[in-house]
Amino acid sequence: MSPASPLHLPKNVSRRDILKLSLAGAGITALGPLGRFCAPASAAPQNLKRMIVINMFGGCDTLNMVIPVSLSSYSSRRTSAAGSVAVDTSGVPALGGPFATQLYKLHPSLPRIRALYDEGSVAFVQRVGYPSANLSHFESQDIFSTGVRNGFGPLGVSPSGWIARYANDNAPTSMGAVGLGVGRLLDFIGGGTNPLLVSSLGAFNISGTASNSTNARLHRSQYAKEMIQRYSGAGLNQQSRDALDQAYTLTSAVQTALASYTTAVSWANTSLSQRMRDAAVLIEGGFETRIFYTGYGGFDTHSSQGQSTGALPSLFTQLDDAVGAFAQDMKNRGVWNDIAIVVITEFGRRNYVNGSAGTDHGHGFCALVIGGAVTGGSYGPDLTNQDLNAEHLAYAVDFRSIYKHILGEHLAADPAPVFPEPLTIETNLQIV
Amino acid sequence: MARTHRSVARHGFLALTVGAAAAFGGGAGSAAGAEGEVNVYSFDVVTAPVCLEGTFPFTLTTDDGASQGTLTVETDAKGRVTGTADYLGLSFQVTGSVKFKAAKSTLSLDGTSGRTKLALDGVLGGGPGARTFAGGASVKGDAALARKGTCVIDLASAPEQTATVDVVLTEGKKGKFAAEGTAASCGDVVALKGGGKASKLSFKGKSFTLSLRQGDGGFEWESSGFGASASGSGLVLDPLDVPTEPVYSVPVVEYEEGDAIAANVIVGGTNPRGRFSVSPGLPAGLAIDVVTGAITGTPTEISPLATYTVTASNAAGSAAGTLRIQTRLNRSRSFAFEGRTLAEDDYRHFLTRTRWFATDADMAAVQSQGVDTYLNTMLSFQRNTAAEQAAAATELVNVTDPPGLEGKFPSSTQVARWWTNLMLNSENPFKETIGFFWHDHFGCSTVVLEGSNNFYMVDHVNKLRYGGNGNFRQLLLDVARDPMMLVFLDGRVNTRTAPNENFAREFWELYTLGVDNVYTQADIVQGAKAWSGYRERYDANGLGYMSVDTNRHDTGAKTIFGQTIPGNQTTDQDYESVVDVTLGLPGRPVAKFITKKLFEYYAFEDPDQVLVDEMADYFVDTCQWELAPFLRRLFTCEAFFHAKARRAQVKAPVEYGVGFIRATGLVLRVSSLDSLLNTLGQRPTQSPTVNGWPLGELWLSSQGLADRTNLIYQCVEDTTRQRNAGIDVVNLMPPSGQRTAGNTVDTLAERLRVELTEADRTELVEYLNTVRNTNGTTTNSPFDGESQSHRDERVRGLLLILAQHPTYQVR
Repeated sequence: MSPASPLHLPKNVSRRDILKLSLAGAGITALGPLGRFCAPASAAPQNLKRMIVINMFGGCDTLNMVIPVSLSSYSSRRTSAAGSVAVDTSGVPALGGPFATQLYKLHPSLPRIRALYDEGSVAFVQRVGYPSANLSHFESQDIFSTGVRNGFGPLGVSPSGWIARYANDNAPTSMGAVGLGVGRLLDFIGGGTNPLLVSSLGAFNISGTASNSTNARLHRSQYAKEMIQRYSGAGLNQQSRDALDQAYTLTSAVQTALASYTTAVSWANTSLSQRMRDAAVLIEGGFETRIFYTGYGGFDTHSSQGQSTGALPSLFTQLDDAVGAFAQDMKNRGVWNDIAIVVITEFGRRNYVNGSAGTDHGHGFCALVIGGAVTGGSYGPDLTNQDLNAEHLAYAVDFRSIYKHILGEHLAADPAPVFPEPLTIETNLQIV
Repeated sequence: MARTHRSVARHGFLALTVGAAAAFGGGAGSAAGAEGEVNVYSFDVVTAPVCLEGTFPFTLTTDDGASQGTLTVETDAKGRVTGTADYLGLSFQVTGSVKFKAAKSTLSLDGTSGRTKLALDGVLGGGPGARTFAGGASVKGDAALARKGTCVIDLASAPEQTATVDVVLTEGKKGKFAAEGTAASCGDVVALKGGGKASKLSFKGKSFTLSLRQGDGGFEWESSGFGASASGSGLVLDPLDVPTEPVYSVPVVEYEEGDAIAANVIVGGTNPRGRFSVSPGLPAGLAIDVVTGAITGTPTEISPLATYTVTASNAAGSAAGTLRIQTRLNRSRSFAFEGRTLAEDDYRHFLTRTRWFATDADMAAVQSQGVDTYLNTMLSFQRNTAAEQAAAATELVNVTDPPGLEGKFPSSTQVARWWTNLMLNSENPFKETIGFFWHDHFGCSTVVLEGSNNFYMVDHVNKLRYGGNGNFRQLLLDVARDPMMLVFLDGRVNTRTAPNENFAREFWELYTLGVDNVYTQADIVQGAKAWSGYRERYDANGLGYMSVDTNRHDTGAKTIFGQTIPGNQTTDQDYESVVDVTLGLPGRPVAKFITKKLFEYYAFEDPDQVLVDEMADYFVDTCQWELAPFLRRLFTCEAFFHAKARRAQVKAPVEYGVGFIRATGLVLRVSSLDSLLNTLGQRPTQSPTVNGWPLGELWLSSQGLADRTNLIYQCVEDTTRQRNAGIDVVNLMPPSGQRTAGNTVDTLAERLRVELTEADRTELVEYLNTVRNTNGTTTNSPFDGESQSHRDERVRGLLLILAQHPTYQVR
């Protein structure tokens, strides 16, 4: 078995370069944006379009998520004497609704997403990737995070994450783009804004600052706050000061939103469901967050991957619970049509089972786009037996085509500066 | 240095004798007229402003309303103005003239932009430095833009320029004087010639004239040039003094090549209207400012200590001074032993970098022994110490453990607490920091272990802790065969028939070479075959272990990096072969990779390649891959103590938390600290990725900073339990009788190595001397350092504030 990885943060040269650049703007990082986060309102604002990215860290075997049931190679390639990763879908209902298809079925652990499909709110995009696939988790995640395949040099753009670039141009506040449970993911790094990156909303508080604290505690937190506000330094000292200042300001606003959130939906007690609940809290709290980014790990299933049940199916269940609950909560608030959830992973896996009843790192994968704003159905080229007989699924849709489409058509942002690198394959998607 | 009088023409001045200098300017001039000397006079003729330079906003008011524009111009010596006017989105190239007169100055400009013409015409008024412009303006051309109106330019930023005249007067026949010199203003220099009788002089240049007539209180004068006419009276011609010896603020100085130097300025000597020169030429990259004499720049070459003569010279003469400069290899690139006497902060830097904290006792020990001797103890790792026995007994043992197997069945939480306990109590904290470096390097986690085998991680951590100063080749072999690693990167399921590439890839990508460095996918395929054969078995007690299954080992020959590993070797022989082929790669990529990573962990990021190469050679040639001698050199080399290594990295949570607790003694329960470190995302024994934890800067999220504060909050809130255990903040305070608020703030800040500003200090003293009331106001309440309640409430509060200081987040 391989590590369950909630964080994929490589320490390589390109990462360092990005960090340096992020420091350059540190002086202006927090002050401007901080003063301008949107105060919580009583209810979720209507018609404010949101994008939510869910990353299945580790490289998801999406052939077992959206299963090509009509292809004979699927089961032959995935079965071996040493073990099998083929999923038996005989008892699984066909995909229905306005975009009914006989070619694929969703894994049996995804019933709520299947129901959303039948409503016409789930699109899947086959053979997503980027040119010259890299099989390293870290390198591949870096490419997804930066949105740049061939380096920043030729582009004349400072190394940065795509969300950082989006936020700079379109949502330059600390709440414009929010990372939930993904550490300081590279996607957010390198811009002039300082987006909120929290492990969870509930954990986002500072002890001894609540108004009902003792006078002694309030006394010292007051002097600490003033010391931090007063501080002016250079480099990392200043960057630390900005993060501290932001910690004091935002913890107070977020705790208020969390305390006033009520819901009719039952959220599963998994990290992904709880992070999606956090997104719902911020939406209900009136924060004008345009991009949420969350994810969960464990998809690096080199061994004992499971078929209908097991390691990978239990991860699918977590996804199904989280998306299902989130969809219902948004519907209850009348904002489901403002939502587009993009489900990605850093790469797909090999088409065939390895010697440990698992699958090794691969290339293309199937992405999901889910939401009331989505026109459901199958996008990208349909899979063939020839595709499955190859080592990897060759990429046919650049992941940036999906992001660019959502940014342009859903968030009404100009995608060109966010993804400055020309795409080898440019796909005109009409998902939202 | 000797003062020398000039006898040779310079800057076009003629060097002739003057016999009647006393005729000029009364007494002041009479001192300088000795035979054989040049008499030089200079004066400022103030005709401000004599040039219009800069950017000025203007407003054009018409029937349509008002529109803003800007004018960016400069003026030459003849009063000709050129520049641009930006107006209504068009950029006009403008030319024209400005005439400055005492009562009425005028500005006239024309410009075109495409087919549109702009004309500005009007009067400049107001005093020097606060002029205004009022006049007419018109725009002609495109119908949409064509307009005519009143133009107002705000010239509040107009520069106040003076024309400076330098002349050398020499006496000729019949009481007549000849003069040559210059007039300068607005960046233009005009050559002047002229002369006349002692009572009446005039100087002329191509676009500047000045005439003087002796009056009762000095000369009356009139000038014309630089766009201005001006006049005045009472002008005195002062003889120009000969320069005196220039003296530098730092007369003997050592610079490091590659670093910009602090300007070395002249603090003694005079050089009126003079210039400075230096001989021989300064080391490459340094330059002398010919006007001020200041030496600035960034040296780009290494040069031995040498004397440089700086000559101050003006038209009256010159004087020379010296300074001595050496440029040396930049200390940040030097792996040489740091021979200088270390300052207190150097010792504190050494201790906090290598051990995460420095108590008074630690400081006393290292200062009395010196770093080199101190390292003898620090680099020799004892096994089975009292702290290790205590940590194992406290954290790993369960009541259900069978006799003889105590501590073999811990939970993953127990394992995490075990190492955290060690970090809090280890007699040699360096063993934990180097162990943690290797843990970050070989990032493994208990999350992949089946419940019964968590002891794999204990053994794994001990390999890293004990081997952290050992032989690197041995460390690689130990880790490769380590049960924890064989689980983590699938070595236990890597077989001849089903090779698993996981470890092969990471061995090169993360552990020895760096991503995409040297190795290829073909090497990984071959490497996976060599790493095959180990499998997991269980003994009679249900404890897992790893052993070779010869049936699982691929016995074919393997080709890695173009070298053949012969077939029919055992698994262990293949393991050694892969390690040796990798370590033996030409160009020493492994030594470069690993010494650079160690350096970055303990000193600063992105060391120069020169340094990396030297470290790699030292590690291989001198140390033979032994870590202890390499680390000794690392911790005593110049680069380690360089300014780049100070406040250069964000503390990771473990260093922040453990460092605070050990520096202050304010211990938490191990279970509490473990939980907080888990929240902070850095739980020892649970690396989030095979690549360890994120880099320092990545820890600066608002959540991370909030949670750090929460960790310290728990430390300082644990008043009663800590005090009952004999732990009291009084141990951190100044001696009894000296516990004033100010002394207390200073002492605690120094112990935590927090850099307080004066304002910080004032506010924190006020914090100690006040209390907050329920309605939010504060009341004075003088601090009593002898009072237990004050210490428990206020001094602990002070520690919580200090731990939030931005400089405490950075090491």
